[in-house]
Amino acid sequence: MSSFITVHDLHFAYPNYVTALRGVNLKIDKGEFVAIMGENGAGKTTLVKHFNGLLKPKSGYVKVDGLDTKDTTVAELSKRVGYVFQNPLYQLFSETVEKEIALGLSGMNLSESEKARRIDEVLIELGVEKFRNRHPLMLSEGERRRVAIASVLVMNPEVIVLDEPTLALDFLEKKRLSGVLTRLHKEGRAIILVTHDVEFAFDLSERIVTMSNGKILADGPKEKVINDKMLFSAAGLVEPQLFQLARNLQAMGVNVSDFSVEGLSTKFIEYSGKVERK
Amino acid sequence: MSGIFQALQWVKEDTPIHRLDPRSKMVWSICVLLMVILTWDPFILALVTLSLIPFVFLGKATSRLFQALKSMLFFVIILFALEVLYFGWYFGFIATMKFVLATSIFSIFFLTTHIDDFAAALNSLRIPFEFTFVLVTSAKYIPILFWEIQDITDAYKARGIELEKSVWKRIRSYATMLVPLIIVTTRRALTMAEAMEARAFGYQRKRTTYRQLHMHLPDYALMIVSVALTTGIILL
Repeated sequence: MSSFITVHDLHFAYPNYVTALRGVNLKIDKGEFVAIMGENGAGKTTLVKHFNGLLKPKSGYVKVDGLDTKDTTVAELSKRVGYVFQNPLYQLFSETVEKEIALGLSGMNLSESEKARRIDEVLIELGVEKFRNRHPLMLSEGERRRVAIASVLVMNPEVIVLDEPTLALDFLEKKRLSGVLTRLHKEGRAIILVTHDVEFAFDLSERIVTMSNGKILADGPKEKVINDKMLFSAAGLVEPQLFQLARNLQAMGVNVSDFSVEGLSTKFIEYSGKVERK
Repeated sequence: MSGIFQALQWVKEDTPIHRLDPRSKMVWSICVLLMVILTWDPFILALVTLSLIPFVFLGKATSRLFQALKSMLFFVIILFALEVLYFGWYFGFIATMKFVLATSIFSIFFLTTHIDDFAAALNSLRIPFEFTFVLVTSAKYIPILFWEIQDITDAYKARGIELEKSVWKRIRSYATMLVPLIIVTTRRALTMAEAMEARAFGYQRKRTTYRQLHMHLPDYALMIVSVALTTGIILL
């Protein structure tokens, strides 16, 4: 079976700017949770903007659900790939949260009752139903970002792309966001996360893709990608603190295979028990 | 539309024209502009066109100047058609020529003069700093504004709304997109005002400048030749 998103030898350059993508190959299946990471200017945003046709390949191709993005409108693709932009201020157009969420439905052929049902659903799903009649600008940064996600989710896309969703969020809002993303992923949606936040990416995603200078450096299960320290730092990234802890444990002779908080704690307790018994 | 602004953007180059003092370039462009506005003689206009060529070549502004003129092509054609319709071929041609020349002079000036230098020149002519500061910041904001418009349009399109449908729907869509644009720009302006205050903007009346303007021999030569030629031609 072919993948939901297939990127083949993608090249792209902005007018009057340097080349942004030089030969990217990538496949993303339904239901995956992928984090795309790399330093500023590596081409992450340029790559994901190809997924809903905002940018069209200069050479190579991008296929979404079998459709070549070159011949498909953004409106058509946006039913399949939802895109949450970096700055929520750029994507909020309406005077109430409810109208904001309804905006994306105006282009779809749905009955009024179906529209209302979907709006109610996402309002509850993202915990913003109490702001239903509030102005999106009167909300906090984190709430605004959840409204932005809701406004994309209401179109029921199979894939949701989030560009730097943790920017300017406080700790609690970040927790709430990761809860939302985990839930959306469990529902069977593919999540593509563009982020600098290694902890956040490691916590949530299953697969990490690192980019540098318009090319993909590494692509695979998250532990494997982060474990290759040289390649990971080549993308301008520093491994998460949990990994540093794991490395320290490994240096003390503990065999670590599970890199989650729970896994590491059990290993640590085991190890300290051994030390005490000695 | 962004073509015009891109074509008018100053590029860092080290050419004899870039090195000229902005004040002498101002005198030159005002003189040439005066000539273009006052004369209806095709011979003088041809002379002015010829005199612009060394500036364009020495200033390495050829391709950008053509880009700027190309982005106005549609407007120029309409202007030409109207003039021909009302005044006939001869005057239509000359009037359009005058328009193209005048815009070229503006373009050459701004393509080879950094906006900061232009502001410094205005300041040295005793135009208050507050005024030139507004001028400089708004000129520098134009590219940022275009990026923001691009991002907002992208965000709007990503919501599944087709922009290409009917004209009426298009106009309504643009009105909707204005909302975030106004919010973002207002916020940016307020933040900037605070940042300026935090750096003691307006604390001292008398300002010193980091880059001082100096006139050299080519500057004097350019000014004298421009003024002499212009007065000579106008008086004749």
